[in-house]
Amino acid sequence: MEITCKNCFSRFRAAVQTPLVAPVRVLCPSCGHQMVLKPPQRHEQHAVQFPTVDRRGSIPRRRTAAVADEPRPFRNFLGEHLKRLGFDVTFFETGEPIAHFVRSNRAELAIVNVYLKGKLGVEVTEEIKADPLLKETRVILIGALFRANRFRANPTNLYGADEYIEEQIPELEFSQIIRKLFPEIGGTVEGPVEPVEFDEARRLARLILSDIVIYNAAKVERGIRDGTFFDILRDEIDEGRQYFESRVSIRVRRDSEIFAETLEQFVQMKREELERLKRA
Amino acid sequence: MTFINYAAREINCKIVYYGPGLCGKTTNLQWIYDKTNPQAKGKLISLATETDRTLFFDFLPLDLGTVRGFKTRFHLYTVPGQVFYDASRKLILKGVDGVVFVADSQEPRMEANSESLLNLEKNLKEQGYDLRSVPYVLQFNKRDLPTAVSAEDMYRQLNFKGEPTYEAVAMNGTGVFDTLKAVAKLVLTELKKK
Repeated sequence: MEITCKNCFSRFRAAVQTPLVAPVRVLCPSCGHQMVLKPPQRHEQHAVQFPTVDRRGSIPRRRTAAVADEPRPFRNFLGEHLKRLGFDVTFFETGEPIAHFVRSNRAELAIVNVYLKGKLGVEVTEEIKADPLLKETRVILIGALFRANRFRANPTNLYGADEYIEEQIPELEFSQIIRKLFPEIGGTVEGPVEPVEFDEARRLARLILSDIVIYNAAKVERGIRDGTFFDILRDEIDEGRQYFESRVSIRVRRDSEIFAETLEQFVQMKREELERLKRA
Repeated sequence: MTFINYAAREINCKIVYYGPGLCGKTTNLQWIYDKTNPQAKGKLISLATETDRTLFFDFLPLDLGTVRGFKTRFHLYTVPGQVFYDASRKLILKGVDGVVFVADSQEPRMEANSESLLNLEKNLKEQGYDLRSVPYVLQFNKRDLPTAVSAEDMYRQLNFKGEPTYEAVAMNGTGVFDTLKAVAKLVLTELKKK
Protein backbone atom coordinates (compact mmCIF):
# COMPACT_ATOMS: atom_id res chain seq x y z
CA MET A 1 0.00 0.00 0.00
CA GLU A 2 1.43 3.43 -0.95
CA ILE A 3 1.29 6.01 1.81
CA THR A 4 2.08 9.72 1.92
CA CYS A 5 3.62 10.99 5.14
CA LYS A 6 1.53 13.78 6.64
CA ASN A 7 4.69 15.32 8.16
CA CYS A 8 7.34 15.31 5.38
CA PHE A 9 5.04 14.38 2.45
CA SER A 10 7.43 11.69 1.27
CA ARG A 11 5.84 8.62 -0.30
CA PHE A 12 6.64 5.09 0.80
CA ARG A 13 5.20 1.62 0.50
CA ALA A 14 4.09 -0.32 3.58
CA ALA A 15 3.27 -4.01 3.81
CA VAL A 16 -0.31 -3.50 4.91
CA GLN A 17 -3.19 -5.70 3.84
CA THR A 18 -5.98 -3.82 2.06
CA PRO A 19 -8.75 -3.15 2.54
CA LEU A 20 -8.00 -2.36 6.15
CA VAL A 21 -10.20 -4.15 8.62
CA ALA A 22 -8.63 -2.61 11.72
CA PRO A 23 -6.50 0.46 12.54
CA VAL A 24 -2.79 0.04 11.67
CA ARG A 25 0.11 2.04 13.04
CA VAL A 26 2.92 2.91 10.53
CA LEU A 27 6.21 4.85 10.75
CA CYS A 28 7.54 7.11 8.00
CA PRO A 29 10.96 5.73 6.91
CA SER A 30 12.18 9.27 6.08
CA CYS A 31 11.25 11.30 9.17
CA GLY A 32 10.05 8.69 11.63
CA HIS A 33 6.59 10.30 11.91
CA GLN A 34 4.00 7.92 13.32
CA MET A 35 0.59 7.61 11.64
CA VAL A 36 -2.53 5.56 12.28
CA LEU A 37 -4.32 4.23 9.22
CA LYS A 38 -8.00 3.65 9.87
CA PRO A 39 -10.28 1.38 7.83
CA PRO A 40 -12.81 3.32 5.75
CA GLN A 41 -16.25 3.77 7.22
CA ARG A 42 -18.93 1.45 5.86
CA HIS A 43 -20.79 4.06 3.82
CA GLU A 44 -17.61 5.02 1.95
CA GLN A 45 -17.43 1.50 0.55
CA HIS A 46 -20.78 2.02 -1.17
CA ALA A 47 -20.33 5.56 -2.40
CA VAL A 48 -21.20 4.61 -5.94
CA GLN A 49 -24.73 3.64 -4.95
CA PHE A 50 -25.79 7.15 -4.08
CA PRO A 51 -26.77 9.89 -6.45
CA THR A 52 -24.58 12.95 -6.83
CA VAL A 53 -25.57 16.34 -8.10
CA ASP A 54 -23.97 17.80 -11.19
CA ARG A 55 -23.65 21.54 -10.59
CA ARG A 56 -21.97 22.41 -13.88
CA GLY A 57 -23.56 25.15 -15.86
CA SER A 58 -26.33 25.81 -13.36
CA ILE A 59 -26.76 29.55 -13.55
CA PRO A 60 -28.10 30.87 -11.26
CA ARG A 61 -26.59 28.27 -8.96
CA ARG A 62 -29.14 25.96 -7.43
CA ARG A 63 -28.52 24.74 -3.93
CA THR A 64 -28.47 21.10 -2.97
CA ALA A 65 -30.94 19.79 -0.45
CA ALA A 66 -31.53 16.32 0.87
CA VAL A 67 -34.74 15.28 2.59
CA ALA A 68 -35.05 12.07 4.57
CA ASP A 69 -38.56 11.17 5.58
CA GLU A 70 -41.23 8.62 4.81
CA PRO A 71 -42.56 8.89 1.27
CA ARG A 72 -45.69 10.83 2.18
CA PRO A 73 -47.43 14.04 1.03
CA PHE A 74 -45.51 16.07 3.59
CA ARG A 75 -42.21 15.05 2.01
CA ASN A 76 -43.55 16.09 -1.39
CA PHE A 77 -44.67 19.40 0.07
CA LEU A 78 -41.16 20.06 1.35
CA GLY A 79 -39.62 19.03 -1.97
CA GLU A 80 -41.92 21.20 -4.06
CA HIS A 81 -41.38 24.23 -1.91
CA LEU A 82 -37.61 23.80 -1.82
CA LYS A 83 -37.53 23.54 -5.63
CA ARG A 84 -39.37 26.84 -5.87
CA LEU A 85 -36.79 28.39 -3.59
CA GLY A 86 -33.97 27.25 -5.87
CA PHE A 87 -32.92 23.89 -4.41
CA ASP A 88 -32.23 20.63 -6.19
CA VAL A 89 -33.85 18.11 -3.92
CA THR A 90 -32.99 14.44 -3.39
CA PHE A 91 -35.20 12.23 -1.24
CA PHE A 92 -34.18 9.46 1.15
CA GLU A 93 -36.06 7.20 3.49
CA THR A 94 -33.29 6.13 5.82
CA GLY A 95 -30.47 7.79 7.73
CA GLU A 96 -27.32 6.23 6.31
CA PRO A 97 -27.78 7.24 2.64
CA ILE A 98 -28.69 10.86 3.42
CA ALA A 99 -25.64 11.24 5.65
CA HIS A 100 -23.47 9.96 2.83
CA PHE A 101 -25.17 12.13 0.23
CA VAL A 102 -24.73 15.28 2.31
CA ARG A 103 -21.04 14.51 2.77
CA SER A 104 -20.28 13.61 -0.84
CA ASN A 105 -22.24 16.52 -2.33
CA ARG A 106 -21.55 19.13 0.34
CA ALA A 107 -25.30 19.62 0.44
CA GLU A 108 -26.33 23.01 1.77
CA LEU A 109 -29.46 21.72 3.43
CA ALA A 110 -30.50 18.47 5.07
CA ILE A 111 -34.00 17.94 6.36
CA VAL A 112 -34.26 14.77 8.39
CA ASN A 113 -37.01 13.14 10.33
CA VAL A 114 -36.04 12.67 13.95
CA TYR A 115 -36.81 9.00 13.61
CA LEU A 116 -35.35 7.22 10.62
CA LYS A 117 -34.74 3.54 10.11
CA GLY A 118 -31.15 2.49 10.81
CA LYS A 119 -29.42 5.71 11.66
CA LEU A 120 -31.74 8.06 13.54
CA GLY A 121 -32.32 11.60 12.27
CA VAL A 122 -30.73 13.01 15.39
CA GLU A 123 -27.64 10.88 14.76
CA VAL A 124 -27.44 12.13 11.17
CA THR A 125 -27.69 15.67 12.52
CA GLU A 126 -24.91 15.12 15.04
CA GLU A 127 -22.73 13.55 12.37
CA ILE A 128 -23.20 16.45 9.96
CA LYS A 129 -22.63 19.05 12.63
CA ALA A 130 -19.48 17.30 13.82
CA ASP A 131 -17.91 17.32 10.34
CA PRO A 132 -15.84 20.51 9.80
CA LEU A 133 -16.21 20.13 6.04
CA LEU A 134 -19.95 20.48 6.44
CA LYS A 135 -19.97 23.63 8.51
CA GLU A 136 -22.05 25.37 5.80
CA THR A 137 -24.70 22.66 5.85
CA ARG A 138 -27.93 23.61 7.57
CA VAL A 139 -29.98 20.90 9.19
CA ILE A 140 -33.68 20.92 9.92
CA LEU A 141 -35.23 18.23 12.07
CA ILE A 142 -38.74 17.02 11.42
CA GLY A 143 -40.73 16.08 14.49
CA ALA A 144 -41.77 12.45 14.39
CA LEU A 145 -45.33 13.15 15.48
CA PHE A 146 -47.64 16.06 15.06
CA ARG A 147 -49.81 16.41 18.11
CA ALA A 148 -51.29 19.86 17.76
CA ASN A 149 -54.62 18.58 19.01
CA ARG A 150 -53.13 17.14 22.18
CA PHE A 151 -50.21 19.20 23.27
CA ARG A 152 -47.48 21.25 21.74
CA ALA A 153 -44.02 21.56 23.21
CA ASN A 154 -40.87 22.77 21.54
CA PRO A 155 -37.99 20.32 21.83
CA THR A 156 -35.36 21.32 24.36
CA ASN A 157 -32.52 19.69 22.44
CA LEU A 158 -32.16 19.86 18.67
CA TYR A 159 -28.95 17.77 18.65
CA GLY A 160 -27.20 20.59 16.83
CA ALA A 161 -29.88 21.08 14.16
CA ASP A 162 -30.49 24.64 13.03
CA GLU A 163 -34.27 24.39 13.00
CA TYR A 164 -37.13 22.14 13.92
CA ILE A 165 -40.39 21.70 12.00
CA GLU A 166 -43.46 19.57 12.31
CA GLU A 167 -45.84 18.20 9.74
CA GLN A 168 -48.59 20.60 8.70
CA ILE A 169 -46.26 23.56 8.92
CA PRO A 170 -47.81 26.33 6.81
CA GLU A 171 -46.04 27.07 3.53
CA LEU A 172 -45.35 30.64 4.62
CA GLU A 173 -43.73 29.56 7.87
CA PHE A 174 -41.57 26.98 6.13
CA SER A 175 -40.52 29.58 3.59
CA GLN A 176 -39.56 31.96 6.40
CA ILE A 177 -37.40 29.31 8.04
CA ILE A 178 -35.56 28.57 4.79
CA ARG A 179 -35.01 32.26 4.10
CA LYS A 180 -33.74 32.74 7.63
CA LEU A 181 -31.20 29.94 7.14
CA PHE A 182 -30.30 31.17 3.64
CA PRO A 183 -30.66 34.95 3.70
CA GLU A 184 -28.95 35.17 0.30
CA ILE A 185 -32.06 33.65 -1.29
CA GLY A 186 -33.51 37.11 -0.83
CA GLY A 187 -36.85 38.27 -2.16
CA THR A 188 -39.93 38.73 -0.16
CA VAL A 189 -41.46 35.96 1.79
CA GLU A 190 -44.16 34.39 -0.31
CA GLY A 191 -47.49 33.95 1.32
CA PRO A 192 -50.08 31.60 -0.05
CA VAL A 193 -51.82 32.95 -3.14
CA GLU A 194 -55.01 34.69 -2.11
CA PRO A 195 -58.23 33.54 -3.81
CA VAL A 196 -58.79 37.11 -4.99
CA GLU A 197 -55.60 36.89 -7.07
CA PHE A 198 -57.03 33.91 -8.90
CA ASP A 199 -60.33 35.75 -9.35
CA GLU A 200 -58.55 38.75 -10.83
CA ALA A 201 -56.52 36.53 -13.15
CA ARG A 202 -59.70 34.76 -14.32
CA ARG A 203 -61.36 38.10 -14.91
CA LEU A 204 -58.41 39.32 -16.95
CA ALA A 205 -58.39 36.10 -18.97
CA ARG A 206 -62.11 36.55 -19.70
CA LEU A 207 -61.55 40.16 -20.75
CA ILE A 208 -58.71 39.24 -23.10
CA LEU A 209 -60.82 36.46 -24.58
CA SER A 210 -63.77 38.83 -24.92
CA ASP A 211 -61.56 41.25 -26.86
CA ILE A 212 -60.29 38.45 -29.11
CA VAL A 213 -63.86 37.34 -29.79
CA ILE A 214 -65.27 40.78 -30.53
CA TYR A 215 -62.45 41.77 -32.86
CA ASN A 216 -62.37 38.44 -34.67
CA ALA A 217 -65.99 37.37 -34.75
CA ALA A 218 -65.83 35.68 -38.17
CA LYS A 219 -62.62 33.82 -37.39
CA VAL A 220 -63.99 32.67 -34.06
CA GLU A 221 -67.16 31.35 -35.66
CA ARG A 222 -65.18 29.51 -38.30
CA GLY A 223 -62.71 28.16 -35.75
CA ILE A 224 -65.49 26.75 -33.58
CA ARG A 225 -67.31 25.26 -36.56
CA ASP A 226 -64.20 23.66 -38.10
CA GLY A 227 -62.42 22.80 -34.84
CA THR A 228 -59.53 25.11 -35.81
CA PHE A 229 -60.07 27.81 -33.18
CA PHE A 230 -56.59 27.54 -31.70
CA ASP A 231 -54.91 27.41 -35.12
CA ILE A 232 -56.54 30.29 -36.94
CA LEU A 233 -56.41 32.54 -33.88
CA ARG A 234 -52.89 31.59 -32.88
CA ASP A 235 -51.47 35.12 -33.22
CA GLU A 236 -54.29 36.72 -31.26
CA ILE A 237 -54.10 34.04 -28.56
CA ASP A 238 -50.32 34.42 -28.29
CA GLU A 239 -50.71 38.18 -27.98
CA GLY A 240 -53.35 37.68 -25.32
CA ARG A 241 -51.29 35.15 -23.43
CA GLN A 242 -48.26 37.44 -23.43
CA TYR A 243 -50.34 40.25 -22.01
CA PHE A 244 -51.90 37.91 -19.45
CA GLU A 245 -48.46 36.75 -18.34
CA SER A 246 -47.26 40.33 -18.06
CA ARG A 247 -50.12 41.19 -15.75
CA VAL A 248 -50.52 38.06 -13.63
CA SER A 249 -47.95 37.12 -11.02
CA ILE A 250 -45.87 34.02 -11.57
CA ARG A 251 -47.21 32.62 -8.31
CA VAL A 252 -50.72 32.52 -9.72
CA ARG A 253 -49.58 31.20 -13.10
CA ARG A 254 -47.40 28.55 -11.49
CA ASP A 255 -50.34 27.00 -9.69
CA SER A 256 -52.91 27.20 -12.44
CA GLU A 257 -53.58 27.32 -16.17
CA ILE A 258 -56.18 30.04 -15.99
CA PHE A 259 -55.66 31.51 -19.45
CA ALA A 260 -55.68 28.14 -21.21
CA GLU A 261 -58.66 26.95 -19.16
CA THR A 262 -60.63 30.08 -20.01
CA LEU A 263 -60.09 29.50 -23.74
CA GLU A 264 -60.94 25.80 -23.42
CA GLN A 265 -64.14 26.54 -21.55
CA PHE A 266 -65.17 29.11 -24.13
CA VAL A 267 -64.54 26.75 -27.04
CA GLN A 268 -66.39 23.96 -25.25
CA MET A 269 -69.36 26.24 -24.55
CA LYS A 270 -69.50 27.46 -28.14
CA ARG A 271 -69.27 23.89 -29.47
CA GLU A 272 -72.18 22.86 -27.30
CA GLU A 273 -74.17 25.86 -28.50
CA LEU A 274 -73.43 24.88 -32.07
CA GLU A 275 -74.50 21.28 -31.41
CA ARG A 276 -77.75 22.47 -29.89
CA LEU A 277 -78.42 24.66 -32.90
CA LYS A 278 -77.71 21.76 -35.26
CA ARG A 279 -80.09 19.49 -33.38
CA ALA A 280 -82.78 22.16 -33.36
CA MET B 1 -55.66 70.87 -18.89
CA THR B 2 -57.45 73.59 -20.84
CA PHE B 3 -55.09 75.68 -22.93
CA ILE B 4 -56.10 79.33 -23.28
CA ASN B 5 -54.39 81.39 -25.95
CA TYR B 6 -55.12 85.02 -25.00
CA ALA B 7 -53.42 86.47 -28.06
CA ALA B 8 -55.54 84.45 -30.43
CA ARG B 9 -58.50 84.59 -28.00
CA GLU B 10 -58.82 80.88 -28.27
CA ILE B 11 -59.60 78.15 -25.71
CA ASN B 12 -58.44 74.61 -26.39
CA CYS B 13 -60.07 71.76 -24.49
CA LYS B 14 -59.33 68.08 -24.62
CA ILE B 15 -62.13 65.52 -24.54
CA VAL B 16 -61.34 61.83 -24.45
CA TYR B 17 -63.72 59.10 -25.56
CA TYR B 18 -62.99 56.11 -23.38
CA GLY B 19 -64.46 52.60 -23.34
CA PRO B 20 -63.82 48.92 -24.07
CA GLY B 21 -62.67 47.65 -27.43
CA LEU B 22 -65.07 48.04 -30.35
CA CYS B 23 -67.68 49.88 -28.26
CA GLY B 24 -68.00 52.65 -30.85
CA LYS B 25 -65.62 55.42 -29.81
CA THR B 26 -64.21 55.86 -33.28
CA THR B 27 -67.70 55.61 -34.76
CA ASN B 28 -68.77 58.52 -32.53
CA LEU B 29 -65.90 60.63 -33.83
CA GLN B 30 -66.50 59.55 -37.40
CA TRP B 31 -70.14 60.62 -37.18
CA ILE B 32 -69.21 63.98 -35.65
CA TYR B 33 -66.65 64.49 -38.39
CA ASP B 34 -69.08 63.54 -41.16
CA LYS B 35 -71.85 65.80 -39.91
CA THR B 36 -69.87 68.87 -38.98
CA ASN B 37 -69.50 71.97 -41.09
CA PRO B 38 -66.12 71.78 -42.89
CA GLN B 39 -65.15 75.23 -41.54
CA ALA B 40 -65.62 74.02 -37.98
CA LYS B 41 -63.45 70.95 -38.13
CA GLY B 42 -59.91 69.92 -38.78
CA LYS B 43 -58.63 66.70 -40.21
CA LEU B 44 -59.72 63.46 -38.58
CA ILE B 45 -56.63 61.45 -37.78
CA SER B 46 -57.37 57.82 -37.22
CA LEU B 47 -54.86 55.04 -36.74
CA ALA B 48 -57.11 52.03 -37.09
CA THR B 49 -56.39 48.64 -38.59
CA GLU B 50 -58.48 46.50 -40.91
CA THR B 51 -60.11 44.93 -37.85
CA ASP B 52 -61.28 48.35 -36.61
CA ARG B 53 -58.77 48.16 -33.83
CA THR B 54 -57.61 51.65 -32.87
CA LEU B 55 -53.90 51.34 -32.46
CA PHE B 56 -53.11 54.58 -30.78
CA PHE B 57 -55.84 57.19 -30.95
CA ASP B 58 -58.20 59.16 -33.14
CA PHE B 59 -58.03 62.91 -33.11
CA LEU B 60 -60.56 65.47 -34.29
CA PRO B 61 -60.26 69.22 -33.69
CA LEU B 62 -63.65 70.87 -33.57
CA ASP B 63 -64.79 74.48 -33.15
CA LEU B 64 -67.84 74.92 -30.95
CA GLY B 65 -68.59 78.63 -31.08
CA THR B 66 -67.41 81.34 -28.74
CA VAL B 67 -67.49 81.81 -24.97
CA ARG B 68 -67.02 85.38 -23.69
CA GLY B 69 -65.29 86.34 -26.90
CA PHE B 70 -63.01 83.33 -26.92
CA LYS B 71 -63.21 80.84 -29.73
CA THR B 72 -63.57 77.38 -28.20
CA ARG B 73 -61.73 74.58 -29.94
CA PHE B 74 -62.32 71.07 -28.73
CA HIS B 75 -59.81 68.35 -29.40
CA LEU B 76 -61.60 65.04 -29.44
CA TYR B 77 -59.54 61.93 -28.81
CA THR B 78 -60.34 58.26 -28.57
CA VAL B 79 -58.23 55.67 -26.81
CA PRO B 80 -57.50 52.12 -27.93
CA GLY B 81 -60.03 50.03 -26.06
CA GLN B 82 -58.39 46.63 -25.88
CA VAL B 83 -57.02 45.70 -22.51
CA PHE B 84 -53.51 45.43 -24.00
CA TYR B 85 -53.06 49.12 -24.70
CA ASP B 86 -53.09 50.57 -21.23
CA ALA B 87 -49.89 52.56 -21.73
CA SER B 88 -51.44 54.40 -24.70
CA ARG B 89 -54.59 55.12 -22.73
CA LYS B 90 -52.61 56.65 -19.89
CA LEU B 91 -50.72 58.85 -22.30
CA ILE B 92 -53.85 60.08 -24.05
CA LEU B 93 -55.53 60.97 -20.75
CA LYS B 94 -52.81 63.50 -19.97
CA GLY B 95 -54.26 66.98 -19.79
CA VAL B 96 -57.85 65.80 -20.25
CA ASP B 97 -60.69 68.29 -19.67
CA GLY B 98 -63.65 65.99 -20.14
CA VAL B 99 -64.36 62.31 -20.60
CA VAL B 100 -67.05 60.43 -22.49
CA PHE B 101 -67.33 56.81 -21.48
CA VAL B 102 -68.83 54.78 -24.32
CA ALA B 103 -70.29 51.53 -23.00
CA ASP B 104 -71.14 48.60 -25.25
CA SER B 105 -74.72 47.52 -24.59
CA GLN B 106 -74.15 43.89 -25.56
CA GLU B 107 -74.51 41.50 -22.65
CA PRO B 108 -71.19 39.68 -23.28
CA ARG B 109 -69.37 43.01 -23.05
CA MET B 110 -70.71 44.10 -19.69
CA GLU B 111 -67.67 42.80 -17.85
CA ALA B 112 -65.44 44.62 -20.35
CA ASN B 113 -67.43 47.82 -19.67
CA SER B 114 -66.90 47.54 -15.93
CA GLU B 115 -63.23 46.76 -16.34
CA SER B 116 -62.74 49.69 -18.69
CA LEU B 117 -64.50 52.03 -16.29
CA LEU B 118 -62.28 50.87 -13.43
CA ASN B 119 -59.30 51.31 -15.70
CA LEU B 120 -60.41 54.87 -16.50
CA GLU B 121 -60.74 55.69 -12.83
CA LYS B 122 -57.31 54.21 -12.07
CA ASN B 123 -55.58 55.92 -14.97
CA LEU B 124 -57.16 59.29 -14.15
CA LYS B 125 -56.03 58.91 -10.57
CA GLU B 126 -52.47 58.29 -11.76
CA GLN B 127 -52.66 61.61 -13.63
CA GLY B 128 -53.92 63.36 -10.52
CA TYR B 129 -57.59 63.50 -11.57
CA ASP B 130 -60.66 62.23 -9.82
CA LEU B 131 -63.41 60.78 -11.97
CA ARG B 132 -65.93 62.19 -9.52
CA SER B 133 -64.87 65.75 -10.29
CA VAL B 134 -63.81 65.51 -13.95
CA PRO B 135 -66.53 66.57 -16.46
CA TYR B 136 -67.87 63.20 -17.42
CA VAL B 137 -70.68 61.81 -19.58
CA LEU B 138 -71.81 58.22 -20.01
CA GLN B 139 -73.08 56.82 -23.29
CA PHE B 140 -74.81 53.46 -23.78
CA ASN B 141 -74.00 52.64 -27.38
CA LYS B 142 -75.37 49.93 -29.69
CA ARG B 143 -78.88 50.22 -28.27
CA ASP B 144 -80.25 48.78 -31.52
CA LEU B 145 -78.70 45.33 -31.01
CA PRO B 146 -80.99 42.48 -29.96
CA THR B 147 -78.52 41.38 -27.27
CA ALA B 148 -78.53 44.81 -25.62
CA VAL B 149 -78.87 44.81 -21.84
CA SER B 150 -81.70 47.04 -20.57
CA ALA B 151 -80.69 50.67 -20.07
CA GLU B 152 -81.84 50.43 -16.43
CA ASP B 153 -79.45 47.55 -15.73
CA MET B 154 -76.61 49.35 -17.46
CA TYR B 155 -77.32 52.50 -15.53
CA ARG B 156 -77.31 50.56 -12.27
CA GLN B 157 -74.00 48.96 -13.13
CA LEU B 158 -72.12 51.80 -14.78
CA ASN B 159 -73.49 55.13 -13.58
CA PHE B 160 -71.87 55.95 -10.29
CA LYS B 161 -72.30 59.68 -9.66
CA GLY B 162 -75.48 60.59 -11.53
CA GLU B 163 -73.53 61.76 -14.57
CA PRO B 164 -75.51 62.66 -17.70
CA THR B 165 -76.24 59.43 -19.55
CA TYR B 166 -77.32 58.97 -23.16
CA GLU B 167 -78.53 56.02 -25.16
CA ALA B 168 -76.93 55.91 -28.59
CA VAL B 169 -76.56 54.11 -31.87
CA ALA B 170 -73.36 55.71 -33.12
CA MET B 171 -73.65 53.97 -36.49
CA ASN B 172 -76.68 56.12 -37.36
CA GLY B 173 -75.79 59.08 -35.18
CA THR B 174 -78.43 58.59 -32.52
CA GLY B 175 -77.26 60.20 -29.29
CA VAL B 176 -73.84 61.15 -30.67
CA PHE B 177 -74.28 64.92 -30.65
CA ASP B 178 -76.31 64.84 -27.43
CA THR B 179 -73.34 63.21 -25.76
CA LEU B 180 -70.87 65.67 -27.24
CA LYS B 181 -72.98 68.68 -26.28
CA ALA B 182 -73.36 67.39 -22.73
CA VAL B 183 -69.65 66.91 -22.17
CA ALA B 184 -68.81 70.21 -23.86
CA LYS B 185 -71.29 71.97 -21.58
CA LEU B 186 -69.74 70.38 -18.50
CA VAL B 187 -66.24 71.33 -19.63
CA LEU B 188 -67.25 74.93 -20.29
CA THR B 189 -69.08 75.14 -16.96
CA GLU B 190 -65.93 73.92 -15.27
CA LEU B 191 -63.92 76.47 -17.23
CA LYS B 192 -66.16 79.30 -16.12
CA LYS B 193 -65.60 78.31 -12.49
CA LYS B 194 -61.90 78.94 -12.99
